[in-house]
Amino acid sequence: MKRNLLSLAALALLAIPQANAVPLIKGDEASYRVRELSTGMNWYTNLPMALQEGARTGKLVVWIHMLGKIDGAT
Amino acid sequence: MSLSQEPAFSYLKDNFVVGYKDITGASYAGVSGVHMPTGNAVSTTNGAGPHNLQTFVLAPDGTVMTCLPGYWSPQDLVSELKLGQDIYKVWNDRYLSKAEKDARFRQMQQDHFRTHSPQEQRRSRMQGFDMKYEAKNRLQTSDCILDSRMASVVLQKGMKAPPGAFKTTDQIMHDRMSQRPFLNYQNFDVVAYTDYGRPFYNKNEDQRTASGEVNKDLARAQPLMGNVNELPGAAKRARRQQRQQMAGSRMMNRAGGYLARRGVQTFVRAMR
Repeated sequence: MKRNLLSLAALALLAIPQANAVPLIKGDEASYRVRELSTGMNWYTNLPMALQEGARTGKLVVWIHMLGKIDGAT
Repeated sequence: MSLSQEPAFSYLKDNFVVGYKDITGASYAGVSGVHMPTGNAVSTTNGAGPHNLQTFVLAPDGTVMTCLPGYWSPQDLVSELKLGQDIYKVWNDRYLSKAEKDARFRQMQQDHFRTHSPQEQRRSRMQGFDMKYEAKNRLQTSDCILDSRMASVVLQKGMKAPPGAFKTTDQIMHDRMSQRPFLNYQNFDVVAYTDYGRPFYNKNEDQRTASGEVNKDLARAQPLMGNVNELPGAAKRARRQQRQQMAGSRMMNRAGGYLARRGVQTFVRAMR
């Protein structure tokens, strides 16, 4: 009985998330999302051309500064 | 990662022209671990990593409607994109003077912050290491600090900032944008605008266990990108990585020698 209780306590401890644990999106899922993002929209890398397209379509431009590439390492 | 998640993905796709610029090497760029597209991903707090990521909403003439420093959660990002569209209506209003437009711009930025829910403000809490950086380096001058006496608590080991010591990142953003009405993108001072917290930001996505905890040994050994040479301790880190590489190579040579003495040539070639 005592041993069972100890086992249960150990299992409960294992089930408690650690303080620095965060929800993780696995590589396959993340990779799929990156592909959807990079191919699902036309990403400009030239600001004047993006602004020109904005003027033509009447849309605002979302211009992102980032370390790396939208479809590559970031 | 928030851009690929709903509602941000559809809202961006349907309403905006999108583009990006790789800021690696830019004076205002920070430092991050290299994260491959096939690697893991994690969500973080709004405004985290302001030096590594900035999202501008621009009018077709290049005027900045708003700018989001760092990561922003998908739902909060859409809300800020809508603010950019509303501000654009003011910018396009030919019956308003420039002074009137500027006043509306400031008001709309402040009003938007006041509509943020408590949940959004919780999503916008400043990262603990960024709080420490602000308290350590500019306790009396930082515009991120609301109460310097309370903020100084984070400098004590193991202590967290009490509520009300620091602004949330959504407040920092709207306060700073309020001071920059209708600037052209070319004149937008990205360095000052994104200047809060430490330049190094990394979530160690690929150095985590299945339960999401960071493997510290793997995290220390990972390659970095951005303004790596500007990072404090850069030389020490480079020496450590060189030592690790040399140790690895010595181990391979020893193992190779052992196997070669026993005539396992194919395996030795494959190892090398």
